[in-house]
Amino acid sequence: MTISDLMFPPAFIMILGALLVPLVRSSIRPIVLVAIPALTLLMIWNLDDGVLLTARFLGYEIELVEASNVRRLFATIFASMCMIGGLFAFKHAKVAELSAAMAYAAGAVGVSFAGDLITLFLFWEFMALFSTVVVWCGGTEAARRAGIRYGVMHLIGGIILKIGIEGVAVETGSIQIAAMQLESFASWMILVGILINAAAPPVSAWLSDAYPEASPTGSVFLSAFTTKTAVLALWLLFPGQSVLIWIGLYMIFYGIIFALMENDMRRILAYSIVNQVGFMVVGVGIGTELALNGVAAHAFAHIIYKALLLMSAGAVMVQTGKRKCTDLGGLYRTMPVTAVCGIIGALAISAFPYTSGFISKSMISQGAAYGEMAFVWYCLVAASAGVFLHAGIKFPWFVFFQKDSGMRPKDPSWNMQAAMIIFAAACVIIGVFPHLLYRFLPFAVDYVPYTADHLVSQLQLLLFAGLAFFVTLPLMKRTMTISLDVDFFYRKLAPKLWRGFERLLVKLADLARVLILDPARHLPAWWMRFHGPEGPLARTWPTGSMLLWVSIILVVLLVGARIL
Amino acid sequence: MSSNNDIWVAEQSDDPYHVVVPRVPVPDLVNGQPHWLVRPSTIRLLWWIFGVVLALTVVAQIFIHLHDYFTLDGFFGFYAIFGFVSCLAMVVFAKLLGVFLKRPDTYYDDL
Repeated sequence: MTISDLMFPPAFIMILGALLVPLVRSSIRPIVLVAIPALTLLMIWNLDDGVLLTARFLGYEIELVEASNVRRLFATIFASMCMIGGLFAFKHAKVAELSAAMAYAAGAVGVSFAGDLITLFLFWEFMALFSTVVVWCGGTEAARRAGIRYGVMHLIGGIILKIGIEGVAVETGSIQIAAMQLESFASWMILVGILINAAAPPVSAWLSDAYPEASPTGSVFLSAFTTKTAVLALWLLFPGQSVLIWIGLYMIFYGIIFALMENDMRRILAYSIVNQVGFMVVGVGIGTELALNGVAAHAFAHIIYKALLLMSAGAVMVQTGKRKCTDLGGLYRTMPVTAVCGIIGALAISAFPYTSGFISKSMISQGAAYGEMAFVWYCLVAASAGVFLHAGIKFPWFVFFQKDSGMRPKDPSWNMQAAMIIFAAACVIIGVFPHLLYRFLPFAVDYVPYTADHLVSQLQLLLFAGLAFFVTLPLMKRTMTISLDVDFFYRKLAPKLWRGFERLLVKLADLARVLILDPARHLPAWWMRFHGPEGPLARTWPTGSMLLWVSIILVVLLVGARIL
Repeated sequence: MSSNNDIWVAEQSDDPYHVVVPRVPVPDLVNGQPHWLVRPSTIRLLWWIFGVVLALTVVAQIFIHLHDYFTLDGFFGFYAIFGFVSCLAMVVFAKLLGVFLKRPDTYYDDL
């Protein structure tokens, strides 16, 4: 399609679909859930490069659709995710969740093709809105509260992003999406606004707080869109900004360490999203063509295997109602399909040879090697081993193996199995035939993943990481705990301080009432309280206590006088 | 599964989804026997296989030259040692950090 025959952005198909989902009969709903993203995919693949659709908005010429190969790649995986996620979810999820998830995916597709900062911001907020609804569809009190926290966090991020966009628009007069330098306050604000959505420090906690509270199907959708649109925005706006390398490295190790401490299986996977997005943020920070290719490939591969992992966790939840590793275990006996698909996802996230992670993540670390960033490269290698530790083995081990929980649930319904099998197959196919993905990458690829050198080094690394897991298994005994994070400040400390403040206000109001409003009535009672027969100031005190206080005052005075 | 000798009990769990999970009264047994995968003999065998594979990946380095970009990664068995040691360090670090950061999972429930 060229500029002349494009009437509307691809995202509009899915917005329309989101409106359609609750209206159609439940027997037709699965067809809508699959057909709408399929139509969107068709449209995405027919977009020519360049700006295709413009409009006037608030006096600005905004570019609703600008296509390029990296944008098409991200939009493709977002729409595919919506399709397979819909297949996975339609029997179990609420209609509101299915509809909100499609609107959420529409926002992600919209961001992918946003040609300017205003369009980006509009779709960005659209995503924040509907992802909050998806969290709320968890249906529990915990989900309601987590949804509010999630919504507030993303609205704050949105405001910061908007401040940045307005600043850039005023300073440069341009709202184009193009690589920026971090030289003004406004561009920093844009970076911060995007990084909040990427779950960067110090606010990484929003992700592991909200996603595991969504429904078993909702967390599958949530894992895909918000953080990866943030990665795309970083890719387009801030390639090669070295500050991103350090932020990304922090995210990588934060994800591993917190996942190792965690007991809730979906929260383990949530931490590992932060970890994987960290790899992408590092890649953007490195900023070479190889690294940027790696980021795009890794985002594509990551959405598939992370959704697959959350699908297998969701299937376990649907069938057992349990989510904690301490309650689970031994499920491979009766849930073989879920177990095998979960293991394939776990191998893919660990970048095991012949899975999708192997051919994508290695491009990023190779980028660090060619860029002669020794420290970064060593960190990435250690982190690759750590991923196998916390997600690659820990998740399947504690859910499907370890001690037998005695539960004998069946595999989930056919649609859930089908969705898992499709994504598991995708992980393997991309891993075995990397050129299928490589030819759609933004830059020409001359990287060869399958060399004897790479295979041996990766196997050595991963298998010895596996050995470390089983050797340290006694140290990893699951505990019924959560880990404190930055969310402590707004979930515990701030409410406590606020309640203390409230109590203080109530006391002050009481005092004011006594002294000002009706002194004649309250003052005598108040006096009685302190000076009455039982009041502390009228009581007879032992002489010893008086002596004690006199001597304390004397000591204070003497010491004070000496110091002064 | 009706041919199974185990007594099956349905259990109402305390989760919000009210899933009724089939359960066996005695874990680890299938038809009165441990599942073949959890028998001590199988586990011993798996450890042996794992050990051999581990050794093979290191031995392979004799025949396949691993490209080195920096200094340390040129050493023999670098990836094995580095992977093992860094994982060990991360597990120990997580354990130590857990002492300070872990709270009962009902920690936020009273709000």
